[in-house]
Amino acid sequence: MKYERINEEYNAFITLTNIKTSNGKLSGIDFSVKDNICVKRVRTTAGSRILENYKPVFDATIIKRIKKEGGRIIGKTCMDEFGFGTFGTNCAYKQPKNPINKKLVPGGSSSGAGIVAKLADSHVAIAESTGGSISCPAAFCNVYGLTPTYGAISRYGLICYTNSMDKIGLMSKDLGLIKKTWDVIKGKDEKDSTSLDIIRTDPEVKRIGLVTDYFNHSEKGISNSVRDYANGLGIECEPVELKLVHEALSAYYILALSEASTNLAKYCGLRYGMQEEFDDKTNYEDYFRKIRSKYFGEEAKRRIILGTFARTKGYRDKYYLQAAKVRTLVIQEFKKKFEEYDLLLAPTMPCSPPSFEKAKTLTPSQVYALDLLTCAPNLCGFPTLNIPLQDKPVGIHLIANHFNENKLFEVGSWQK
Amino acid sequence: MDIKKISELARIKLTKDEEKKFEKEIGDVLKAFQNLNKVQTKDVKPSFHVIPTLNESRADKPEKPLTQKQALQNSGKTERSYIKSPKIK
Repeated sequence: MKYERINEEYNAFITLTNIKTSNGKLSGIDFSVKDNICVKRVRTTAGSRILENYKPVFDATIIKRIKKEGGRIIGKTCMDEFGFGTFGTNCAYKQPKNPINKKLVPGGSSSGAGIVAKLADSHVAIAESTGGSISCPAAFCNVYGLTPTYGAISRYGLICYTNSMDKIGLMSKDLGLIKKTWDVIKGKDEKDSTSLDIIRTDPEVKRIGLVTDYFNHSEKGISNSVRDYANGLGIECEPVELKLVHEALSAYYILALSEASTNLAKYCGLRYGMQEEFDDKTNYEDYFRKIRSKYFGEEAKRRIILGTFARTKGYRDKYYLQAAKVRTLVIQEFKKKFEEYDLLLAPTMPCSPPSFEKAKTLTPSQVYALDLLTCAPNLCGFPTLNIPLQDKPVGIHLIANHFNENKLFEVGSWQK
Repeated sequence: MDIKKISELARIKLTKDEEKKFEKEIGDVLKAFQNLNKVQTKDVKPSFHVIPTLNESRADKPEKPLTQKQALQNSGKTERSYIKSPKIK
């Protein structure tokens, strides 16, 4: 389907563009870019009104690498404001719709990426995940979604949500195109001190652990379908207990929102983004407050306030520091399992995508709980791959140890 | 949680309705997160970074920086080569 039509029918883009480049390894592939990744001279809003008029003066490293190898950039995809959302219903612009059924949410926060990946041929959507923002829309939109090891792809030029968890990744209905792009864009970038060269590991997969808690917290139909898929792989699959998955959800939100509240402090109507008139009588702080209150959306305000609270005197140790310690234990627990199993497997999301009507009835606490299955690997920087299940808005989630993306590609290719 | 104080710290002005709504919703979320404090973390080191790395610095070589015009072009309020802000009183 043509990009203009995808946009008219599904509101997948915030800005359409057409940047052609010279020939290279990615010639013939179209790329859309999540709107929190900077593309030189192209409006980049991060799904927020506060950045409605922002045009970066530089390319993110990943964009430079794609352009250098001949990829065509066709537009900036819609997203939940700054990545704050599970359903794709927190974008300040038009409401994106699920490509399988327009009455259903597309999943978030990389909503537009999921839609375009499903509907366009020879296309790779550049997306980003902090707590599940690639896996969730990949499952709901029925496409492959790779969330790499933390640091494997440079974050230079990414508008930060949570520095210690943000990861740029890839979505497409063609896993081969994801692999081809991955080979070009991964690796150390001197402009991102947390970026890393991927250590090559053995791609052989002999044993898979099925995460019991994740199956138990999913709708029965989804659990059964994913279990059937695992049994059909023809290798040893057995149940695995992880004790800290619920605590991982809490730790994820505390750390993510604490970091987000500091990252979003820079939006104050001066250096970039939306601004208003002021005169000699205007108070400095009142001006900040006015801009932030007017141009941040409801979920952004809620998360900034929660994150600010978790860092205040008297609560910092109880929430922020404790969450960082729990993250250490969750990493250790997963690492121990990876000594026994090559991969862990579970449903990607515990439910099918709800209708827009149903989504409106859920409280923030209920929505946050739906991230249970995706947040632990994201909290710990483990790579994951969403594999689409036939033509259903349901995904199979493969989780690997750090740097073991090749195991994900290996098993992902078996289904094909 | 004192919603007025925290929103003041976050430089966000909430309406009365927003204050009431957020206080309830954030209260519910924090209640759900209480399980964190049941985890025994004595002698556990916090993970601020998920993959152990040493301090990284790039080579000390000059690069072409942004021009002044480029650096200021997203700010609507500039005067000479400065970004203009309201007075700090």
